[in-house]
Amino acid sequence: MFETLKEQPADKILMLMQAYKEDPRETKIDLGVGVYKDASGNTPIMHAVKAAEHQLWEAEQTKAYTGLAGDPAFGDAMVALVLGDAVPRANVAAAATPGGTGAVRQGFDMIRSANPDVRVFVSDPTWPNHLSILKHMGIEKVSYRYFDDETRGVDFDGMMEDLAQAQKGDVVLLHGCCHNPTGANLNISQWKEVVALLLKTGATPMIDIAYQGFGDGLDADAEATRLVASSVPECLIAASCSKNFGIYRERTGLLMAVSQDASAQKLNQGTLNYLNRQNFSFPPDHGARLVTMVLSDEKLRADWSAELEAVRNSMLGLREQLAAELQRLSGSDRFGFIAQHRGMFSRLGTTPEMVEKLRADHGIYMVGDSRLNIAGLNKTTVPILAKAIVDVGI
Amino acid sequence: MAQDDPRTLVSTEWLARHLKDPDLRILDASWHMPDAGRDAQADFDASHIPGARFFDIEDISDSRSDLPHMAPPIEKFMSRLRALGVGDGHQVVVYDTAGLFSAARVWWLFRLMGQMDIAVLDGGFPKWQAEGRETEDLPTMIRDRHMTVRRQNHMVKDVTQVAAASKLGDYEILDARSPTRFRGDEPEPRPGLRAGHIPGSKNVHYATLLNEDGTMKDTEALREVFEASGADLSKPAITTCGSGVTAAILSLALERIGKTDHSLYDGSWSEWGMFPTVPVETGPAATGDN
Repeated sequence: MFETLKEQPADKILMLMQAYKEDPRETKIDLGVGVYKDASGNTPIMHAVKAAEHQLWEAEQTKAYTGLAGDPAFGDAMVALVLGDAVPRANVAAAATPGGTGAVRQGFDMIRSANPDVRVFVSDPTWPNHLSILKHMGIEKVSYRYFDDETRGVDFDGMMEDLAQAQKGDVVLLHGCCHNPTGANLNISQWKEVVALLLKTGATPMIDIAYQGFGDGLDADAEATRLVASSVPECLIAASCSKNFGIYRERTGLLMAVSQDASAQKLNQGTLNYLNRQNFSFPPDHGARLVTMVLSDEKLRADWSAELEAVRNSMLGLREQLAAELQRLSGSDRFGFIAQHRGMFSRLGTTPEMVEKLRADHGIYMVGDSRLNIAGLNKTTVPILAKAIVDVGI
Repeated sequence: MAQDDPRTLVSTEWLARHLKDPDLRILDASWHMPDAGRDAQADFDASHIPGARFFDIEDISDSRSDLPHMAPPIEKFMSRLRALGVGDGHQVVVYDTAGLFSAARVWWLFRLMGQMDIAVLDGGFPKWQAEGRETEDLPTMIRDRHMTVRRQNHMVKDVTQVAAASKLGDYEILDARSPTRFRGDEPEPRPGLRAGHIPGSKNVHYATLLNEDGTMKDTEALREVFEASGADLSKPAITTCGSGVTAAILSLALERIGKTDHSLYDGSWSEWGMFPTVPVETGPAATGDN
């Protein structure tokens, strides 16, 4: 029977990882997949996470099932991390999921349960997996303008014009911070305009926040998400712990459904539990437990946030270094946007041909849409990349 | 009789006494509901307090907004007021032809722009006329005066802030509309708006703050009215109404009783009532914690 299956296109980012591995050149630079790397190219386990893991190994007495929504303490800790005191805790339904991707998937499942004819508005561009999951689930997507190829900032007027088409019963997917893949973000007054538009149209926002702490700091990166959650009647929030806790393979994420009152919360919580049950019964627990331990232990938390802050600052430093180097080599300010962007990525805004040229001539690997992973750089490789960019004539 | 205070409210006697002060400026801020069929500018042209200038609430507003007479950008406020000859160093008195209806909005706008030396004329033009005081129908000679504007953003709330306040209950939201509009028993005068009120808000109809002659009640009576609404005055207040005009009467009354931590929801029901999914309550105000 399986001969009827269609061959699925390979994931472009994962293909790129393979090609990089096979490239014999010593000067090659991997700016592909969204994984944080330190200056020596490793993705280390954060100190606090390692310490929590050690404690957990000593203390954990059972591997019996947790709840369908995961350990409630994880939900509490993450709701506090993402939402602060923006909404009453009693209004938030939350369920642990396998990573941020799992949260996105469960969120789409919930949306579809509520409205089978839902349309999901997605930024152009967005994380390719958003599109691929929507397509797989048969949910209609509508793109809204987002990235301005000229300024490499947000095409805000275009975005607002397109979002005005959303209606009650539609969902608008927004990146809470550190937009992936562009690195271009709204400022808080633009977020306020988006919220007012959402209220006007009655569309429901869903926020994907996968990089809290990678942009302007833990609280600053959550500011827009908190604004939305406190202002609209209801919204979904998919949060990932992969990046900010560096626990990619542990698959740790949380889906939150914020409602207007506690009775709607009950309904939402029941739905989240049910959907977890249908898709995988119980969410993974190990990573969630580590996150809970780090967030609830004062010392571990301080250690973790200091290390995260160092990661963030090193990426900001690389952004500034790259922008300055490009300014020096090109004699123009046209690359200034790299220092303005936030998060792990920046979209260069160049053609696939140029991206291919960078790979073929210089061994520099980035995704075909010209997204580069800033964390794939270090102080030594920044000048190499800058020279290559200017040499190929971007 | 309310006490004269050049930063909130002054009596007709006070104004008559100061009418010839060189740095006094008078504004007629009359404005009527769209369905009232009255032309405030024409009324002004026919008769006004000597030296008064007409402040057009519809014109001196944010023309980019679809909502009625939202607070203008500071540049526009500065240039319009300069053209009216009102600026730094002036004591302003503002009145309307209804007694007290729209004048408080201009009082609030001045404070939003960082200009504090403005008072509402208690009892307004009707009281002034009833007392047989001097009026004129002449346009006023105007000399430009620069106005320094510093917008006090804490004095105004947008819909995101009000929605959050409604959810969290950390502000007392006070609605100046009539009880029938507040409860949702009467359709809204502006078409396309839902009926009801912001969840958790309390109803303080602006008319309950006034005496029969249109003057404002004394501070003790004002405090009683606020308390009777069930409002917790230890929380900061947000005032609201249909379009941000009569809400300013509540703001003025709060200022009179020494409660200075108030702000105004400029979009008011014209904005909230237009949104299809934001929660709307009907019936009397909910009591207790929410």
